[in-house]
Amino acid sequence: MSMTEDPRVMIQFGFLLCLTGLLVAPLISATMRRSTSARRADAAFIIGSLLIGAAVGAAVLWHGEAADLDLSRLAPFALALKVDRLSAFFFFLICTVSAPVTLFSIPYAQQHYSEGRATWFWVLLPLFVLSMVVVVTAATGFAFLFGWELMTLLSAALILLEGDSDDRRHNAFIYLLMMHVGAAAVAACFFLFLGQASNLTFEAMRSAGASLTANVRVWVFVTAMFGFGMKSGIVPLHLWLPRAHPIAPTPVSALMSGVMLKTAVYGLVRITFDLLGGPAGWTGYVVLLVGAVTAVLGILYALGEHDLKRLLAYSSVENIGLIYVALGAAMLFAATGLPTLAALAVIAALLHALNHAFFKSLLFLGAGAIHHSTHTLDIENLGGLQRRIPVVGVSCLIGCCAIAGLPVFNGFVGEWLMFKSLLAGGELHAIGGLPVLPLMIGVVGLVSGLSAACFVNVYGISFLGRPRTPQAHHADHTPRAMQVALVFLASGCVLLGIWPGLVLRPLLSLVAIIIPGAGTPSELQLISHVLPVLAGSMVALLLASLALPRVKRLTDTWACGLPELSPRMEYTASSFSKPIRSVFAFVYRSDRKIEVTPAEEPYFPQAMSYRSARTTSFEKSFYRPLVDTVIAAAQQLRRLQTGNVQVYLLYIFLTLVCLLFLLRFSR
Amino acid sequence: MGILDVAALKILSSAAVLLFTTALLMAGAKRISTCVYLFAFQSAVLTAQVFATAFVQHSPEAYAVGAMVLLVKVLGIPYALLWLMRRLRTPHDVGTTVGTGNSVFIMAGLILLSFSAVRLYLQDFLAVEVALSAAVALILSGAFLMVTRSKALMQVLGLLVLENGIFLAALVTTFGMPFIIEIGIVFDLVIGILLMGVFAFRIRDTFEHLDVSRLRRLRG
Repeated sequence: MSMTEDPRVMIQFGFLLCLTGLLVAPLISATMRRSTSARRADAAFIIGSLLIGAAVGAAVLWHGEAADLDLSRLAPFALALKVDRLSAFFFFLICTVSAPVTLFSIPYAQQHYSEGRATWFWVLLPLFVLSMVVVVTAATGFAFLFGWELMTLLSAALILLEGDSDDRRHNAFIYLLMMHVGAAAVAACFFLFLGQASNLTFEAMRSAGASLTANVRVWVFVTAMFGFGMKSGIVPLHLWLPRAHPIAPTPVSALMSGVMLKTAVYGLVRITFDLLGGPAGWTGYVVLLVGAVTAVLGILYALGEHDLKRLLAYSSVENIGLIYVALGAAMLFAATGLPTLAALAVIAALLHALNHAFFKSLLFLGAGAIHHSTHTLDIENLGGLQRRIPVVGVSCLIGCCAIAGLPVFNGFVGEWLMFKSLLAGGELHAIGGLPVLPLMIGVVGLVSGLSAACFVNVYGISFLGRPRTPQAHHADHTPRAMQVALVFLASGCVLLGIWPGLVLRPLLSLVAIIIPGAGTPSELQLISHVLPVLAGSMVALLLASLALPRVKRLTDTWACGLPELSPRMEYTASSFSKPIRSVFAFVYRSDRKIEVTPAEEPYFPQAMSYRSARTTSFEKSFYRPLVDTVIAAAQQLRRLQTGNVQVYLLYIFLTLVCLLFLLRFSR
Repeated sequence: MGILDVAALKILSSAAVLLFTTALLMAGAKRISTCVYLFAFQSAVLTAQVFATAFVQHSPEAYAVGAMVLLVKVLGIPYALLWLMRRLRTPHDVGTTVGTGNSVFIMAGLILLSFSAVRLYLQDFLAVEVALSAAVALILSGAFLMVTRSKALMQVLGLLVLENGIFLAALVTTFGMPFIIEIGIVFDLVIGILLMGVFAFRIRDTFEHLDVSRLRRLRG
């Protein structure tokens, strides 16, 4: 074996090692002795496999040497995996984020689960990660669908592992239902290639992609958009997201929100840019508009929430919207012959996907840590946590800064590149496109502003001020493993924010493959060089301001003349977001009800009750009629069932006779 | 051409007429026992066809199939059904939901339909065409009997007629299926009859009648 083959062999070996590790880990957890140290060893084993996977992903991303694994002989269908650069990026994303999440799971499972359930948890968790790995590395349609379906089922199993109640079952049912409808669309999307492709390997589909008729291409795009949109939670298909994420175990929520949604982004990029051999112009407009609506509504719904996990779930909807906006812009550029700008927009989308994976799983884990310490996730019941659990506080602060898109944190880089590519949309307008892209700048700007407000709310209400409840006052210590996981993700956010070049350079070589003829966008150079300098000067400024002598003054806060300050005087999450919610009142449409007793003397009430329930208007005006129609149709169909055997036989008989008639008169 | 060859070819081409007749007579029959005898006769015609095919094709396996059909369908099942009727001691009428006169007319229509449908697709072989339409007609008549006769035993008989049709279709399109498949089908049939016999007893013991049109409580 010569030295030049070494990286390839190492990559191949590492890939196999990672897959085997994830496959063996459940077996170990199912069979081993149930002690704390054994659990830790098992988790360490999983984390080791994931780190190897991350290294493999990074190596493929840098070198471009593909790793592959063909299991078609062992499986009843063509099951082949291949890590090319695009797969490697998402593979890297999955492994890097899953590793700290696994670490976080150790104390989480210990606190929340009995022994039996903990075993199940440790069996299902690595399999869930493995299924996502299979999805992004699949080289055949069947392998993809296999992973896709497994991903749904395993995550649903993990949701039900957390507990059992009617409400939970209902939400899990909605999750499964929507996922299966989406999976059907994805399957249809792959099968549409069969008209031209001889089989469903991506290789064959890629070579068939160019020769598909225009009609079929439309259907491929529509089914892909629907199927992947269902998984990634675009509006109005986002219904399952705020239902499934809050009830999942916190580490799983982090994985679902941070990582699983990205598999849908991967699918869309794979289909439109790779397999179809380039997008059409109108698809760009569709993706752009869907993304814009999703982003705006997602963040507005997030602002209206005060359950931390629901809020984060809606915020994921928003971020997926942003990614779609960038993808839509990329499709437009690619379709109109501006490959360099298309490359910029795709890089923005992929980078934002990676960034979102980092800061969203960080925030979900932060929420888990808060729940661990205070046993509540309602931010109205929190407050003053920064001094009680400082590591969690600082990590969450970094996460909030990143998600709000502040400079020197990773969220900024993606959004900046997004802005740059949208600003370049003027060029598109000059050669005859619709002036949609410049308008999108306003949309993305609005979304960034709202998300900043939303996360100021989150951090300010839960970590600053005084504790609002005894639970928040007596917040417990956070376990070391949770702290390490949070710090790992937070430092990832900072690192990517200061040295985006680390990811941008391999992303550029990735994009050069899927968008032929793309040059190097100058913005990448700029941002890679400016941010370290900016970070350095900020640190210098900070140090300088610390070094300067300051006058310290200690006085009591003025309490409007009242004897002392109480937590009830503080801003609440609802009051903080109220101005924004008033402006966008038409989005929320909350049902408010005020009851005053006694009713005949409204000006001298003895008791008042106020209730406000928010249902998103989609549930009322879109899903409710849909469900009602389906149920009504089913009721009508029930009439077919009379209970009489002979009538059933008659149906068969009539079918037979009708078929014969068809046979007779069709010629 | 020997006398046996002539006889074999004649059987193959004209057995369809006998089969149509049995189908029409069954539609007109009022007593279950008449139907059982007609079924035995129908199966006998089928057996003759199997033997004729075996003779023409020089296939020893087909003789074995013919013997099996003779044993099971011509003798065994009719005997079992008649024994069942004696033991069950139920009324002997077939339980018509469509009158026998109308049934004959509908049956004739079904035969016409099967003829006209099949003819379009097999214009080359005259002998096969008639036999195949007979097969389709038998399938339809079996299904028709199951739909319009409400007694449990008639349901069994309808199924048997239907199976005869399928058997005939297999015979004329492939000139005899592989032996092992034939054995499987016959075995299937025997087990089916056995189960239905057991159920007939159970239904009678539970509901004091054998009228399936009155069994309608199980529904979604």
